[in-house]
Amino acid sequence: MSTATLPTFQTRQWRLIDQVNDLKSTLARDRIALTDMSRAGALETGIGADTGDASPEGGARQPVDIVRLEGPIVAREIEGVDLASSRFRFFLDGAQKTMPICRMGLTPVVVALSAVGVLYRDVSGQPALMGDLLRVNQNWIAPRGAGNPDLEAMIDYLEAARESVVDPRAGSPTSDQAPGGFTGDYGKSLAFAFELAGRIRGEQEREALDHWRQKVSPDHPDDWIVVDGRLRANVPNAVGIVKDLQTQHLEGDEAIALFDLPKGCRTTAFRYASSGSQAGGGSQEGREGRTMWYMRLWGATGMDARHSLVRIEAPHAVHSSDEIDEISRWILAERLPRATEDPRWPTLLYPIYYLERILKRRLANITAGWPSA
Amino acid sequence: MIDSPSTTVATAALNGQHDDAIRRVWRDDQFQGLIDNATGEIGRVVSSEKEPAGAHQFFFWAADDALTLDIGHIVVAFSEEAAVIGVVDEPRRYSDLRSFLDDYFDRHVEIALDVDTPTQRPEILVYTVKVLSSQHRRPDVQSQRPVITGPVYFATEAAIEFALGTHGFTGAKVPALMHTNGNYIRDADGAISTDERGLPKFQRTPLYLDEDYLVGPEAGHANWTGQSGLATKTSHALFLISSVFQTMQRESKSVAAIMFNVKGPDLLWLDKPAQPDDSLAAAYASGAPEWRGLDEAQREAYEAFGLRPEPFENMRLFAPFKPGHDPKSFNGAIQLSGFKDHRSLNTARQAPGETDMVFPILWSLRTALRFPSKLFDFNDLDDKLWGFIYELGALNITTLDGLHKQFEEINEFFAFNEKEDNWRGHHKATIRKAQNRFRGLKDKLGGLLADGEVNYGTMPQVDASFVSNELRVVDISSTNSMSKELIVSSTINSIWRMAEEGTMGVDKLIIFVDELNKYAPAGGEGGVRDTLVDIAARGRHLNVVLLGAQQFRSKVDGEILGNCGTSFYGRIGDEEIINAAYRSISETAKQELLGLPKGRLLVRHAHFRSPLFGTFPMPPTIPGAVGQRIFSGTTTPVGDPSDALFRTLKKLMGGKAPSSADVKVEAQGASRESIEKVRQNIEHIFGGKPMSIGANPWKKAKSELRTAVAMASMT
Repeated sequence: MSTATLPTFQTRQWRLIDQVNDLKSTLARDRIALTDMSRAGALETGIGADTGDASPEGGARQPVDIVRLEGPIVAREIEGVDLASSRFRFFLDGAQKTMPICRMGLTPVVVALSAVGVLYRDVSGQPALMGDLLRVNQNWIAPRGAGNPDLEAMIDYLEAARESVVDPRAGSPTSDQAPGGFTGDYGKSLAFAFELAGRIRGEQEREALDHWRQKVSPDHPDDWIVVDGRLRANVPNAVGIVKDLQTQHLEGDEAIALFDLPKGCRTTAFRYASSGSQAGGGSQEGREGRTMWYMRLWGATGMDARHSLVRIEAPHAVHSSDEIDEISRWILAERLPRATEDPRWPTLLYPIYYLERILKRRLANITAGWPSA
Repeated sequence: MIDSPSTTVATAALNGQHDDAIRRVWRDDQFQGLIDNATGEIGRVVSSEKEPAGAHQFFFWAADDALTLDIGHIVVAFSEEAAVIGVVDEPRRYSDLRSFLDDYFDRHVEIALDVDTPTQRPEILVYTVKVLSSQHRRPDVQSQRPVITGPVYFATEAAIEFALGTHGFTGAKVPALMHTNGNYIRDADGAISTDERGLPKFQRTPLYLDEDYLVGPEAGHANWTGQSGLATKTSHALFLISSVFQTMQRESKSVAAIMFNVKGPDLLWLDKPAQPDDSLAAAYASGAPEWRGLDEAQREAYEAFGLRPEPFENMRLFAPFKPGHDPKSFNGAIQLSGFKDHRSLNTARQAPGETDMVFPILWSLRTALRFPSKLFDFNDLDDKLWGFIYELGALNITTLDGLHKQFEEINEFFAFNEKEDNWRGHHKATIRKAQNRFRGLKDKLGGLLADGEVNYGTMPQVDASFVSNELRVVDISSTNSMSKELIVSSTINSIWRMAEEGTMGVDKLIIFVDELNKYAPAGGEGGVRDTLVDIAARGRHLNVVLLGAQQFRSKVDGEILGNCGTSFYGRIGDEEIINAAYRSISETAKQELLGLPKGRLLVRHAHFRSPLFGTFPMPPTIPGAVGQRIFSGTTTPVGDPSDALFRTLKKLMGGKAPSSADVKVEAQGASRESIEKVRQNIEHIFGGKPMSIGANPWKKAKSELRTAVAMASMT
């Protein structure tokens, strides 16, 4: 590698295909070869490989200890639902695309794209993206110290071009912290890259929520925000809606009550017994567990037991049955219009679906022209 | 990691801040004059796999605040190196609703129909645009490249003129319609101009036709189609003829027109202004109090067109006699010179003082026999009768009087030669049949056919040559259908003959034929149809232009329509619009035509790549029915008695005629009757023939007027 060739990759071009072509031609001048993976497809649609991690959401398949806030977990009817009334005014979501770019020996090089945004719905019901809360991120994921000089050269190039290059082992609770810990394990490398991309997006979402809490919420004290997925901190006026129920918190009759939950009803609420069971458990906000309950949004006759079942995560401060009922009524009001274009519509609120489409379009702009996009 | 500089750069790039790296043609100074920057972007071009942008059509979604944008507006988008100007066509509103049933099920039982859900499903309005023209960076490049994704703007007047090919006109610009765009007019400070009601004024742009493509020689002819009774076809034809007259006058070219009045008093008062002058104001107010004349918007439209809302001052009206009122022959001839008995003419223009430009049409048998197939029933007109008719020609039988005399002679021949079956080779039965058929001929032609030879003398004739800016109206509204057909056929044939001989007297002649489907029906043949087809095919080379109108375009001969360089479409019925004659019009435009309001037309012209909608002001003349109420509703003449004399002098002397005020001053003190007598005398002495050197009708008129004034003062 010669430093004289570095400036050739200075002009940033935001389309991924242009960036990679520039990278290839720059490396080719130094006779550095890479193995193309542009047709491999996003990891989200293919090899979102198992990292063997032990995170609560990803790995825990057993019920966790919970504290019951309204007595045993049973179905509870929600009365007085006004289908036109909801105090949710903001909706937060993120999208990511993790694209394998090339392989240097046994090490895959991946680009993690993520977009996070907040949708604002005005009083007339028209949704609009909040421009100042939109974040689009691109990170190259490649390990240093893998013993491959070509890879090192490539990382040098990227960093010289002021690209963000991240080590897949960074911050992972499951990766081997020793340098080169999974070097030589192609599958594991890819899986860690994928996990890291998810963490990057999660971090972006947390930042966006913090920003909303500090800069936006004070001007909208009566309005609430819906976060797609788990609520990772006790943010006032924020509610997380979890669609993908991998963790079974309940067992026995309570689990049966959950899976028998009628349409439009909720379960009684609960919290994790241990703050460590929740993300963000280290902070003060994290130590106070979120209030959670399940809701069935649509009828599930003849369907899977989890059909249209969502878990609601509200801040610790929400604890009374009246408060929980009130939030549940807003969620029921949000069932319409249905996002029937998306197969997840029974658990997907329309504004979240709408925001997701916008964010995915943003990512698609970057991957336009990429062979497997 | 999240705070890395690359994050910011990437976000900025997605927000479009990297445009400096990519040249955007819509920011070029060269194209700023084409787009309405004050209004700003009104949408954005979209192109998809299923619906790509093409050379002739593209799509854009409309901005939420582009509320004035609608069908027919003209917009500008861009390809890589060119501005692409197009007319807005079909609008479609999209949402992400997969099926109507989804919305039904959303609402079903769950929620009342009038309740809004917390989130409104977003909808976008996507317009189709038909490309009119492209302006490339380089003037020597003709660009056909489809637009690229980017902003869309309202087109300025300059863009519209460019898109309609005005820069490529080889002839003069003939104002035809007014296009209204969706953007507002702004003053120099950028403030939106308002009308008298305080409403914002939209940008209006005159739509011009190329003289060379309307009245030849490059192309020619125009056609109007639309339902009757919507005051559009004839009104616009009159407006356009006025426009052509004024345009050609500016170009120092002479033009005249002939029109056939086929119903009511439609075309009888084309010499009267829509907006009365002082001398007519009182008459208009009392005769037709509901008539409002031209409003401010219409006057503004005339001004924008660069036209004067003036009537056809040089109008002549021709009509046959009422049945049984034709003049009696004297010594086998009828002298029409000095004709005054206008009440005997079969026209509604009978008002006192308003008949100085009304002239008779009267035929001798000679003229009628040019059309034997129209005079006689198809089954009667066999070879034997043809033979007899030829015989009459050979015998120089040119009048009914002469024919009757001939029949008397033949009858005597057979009376004296009882055994004879033939006269000059014609069988007795054929002659009897001919006698029988000719006997009813005069009634059949109701007022058109005279007994004797017709001698027009100095009287103007309907098929004589024209003078510049003359509008000749042939009133056949009250005659029977056979006379109508004969008059139309004969007149058009005569004009065509003049055109071929180069004796029309003007550079261009416009023939307006209403109910064209009757005179040149699809699939028909013979008679005036053949002449009209010939005019449509060759007329532009011989300076004759056919302007035709009809309710059903599909019923008109295809060759005539195919030769029309310009077509106008008014409101069209649903039964008619499904015909192949309309297949070149987009579905959206067709739907618009089904409910098109009065005063609005769709125009196709040789220079326009897509048809355009436009409006036009009322014609510069008063509507026939209103004119009839004003001028014929009274027994006393309306207006100044010297007006008719002024018109006659103007007709005879052209630019050398005295002013209307001079004539009024000279006539002051003379009675209405004596002024009319002077006029008739002047017409008799100087009319109907070329002016000799030194002839001065005004001098003669002044002399006679002074005598009339003196006589009046004595009594």
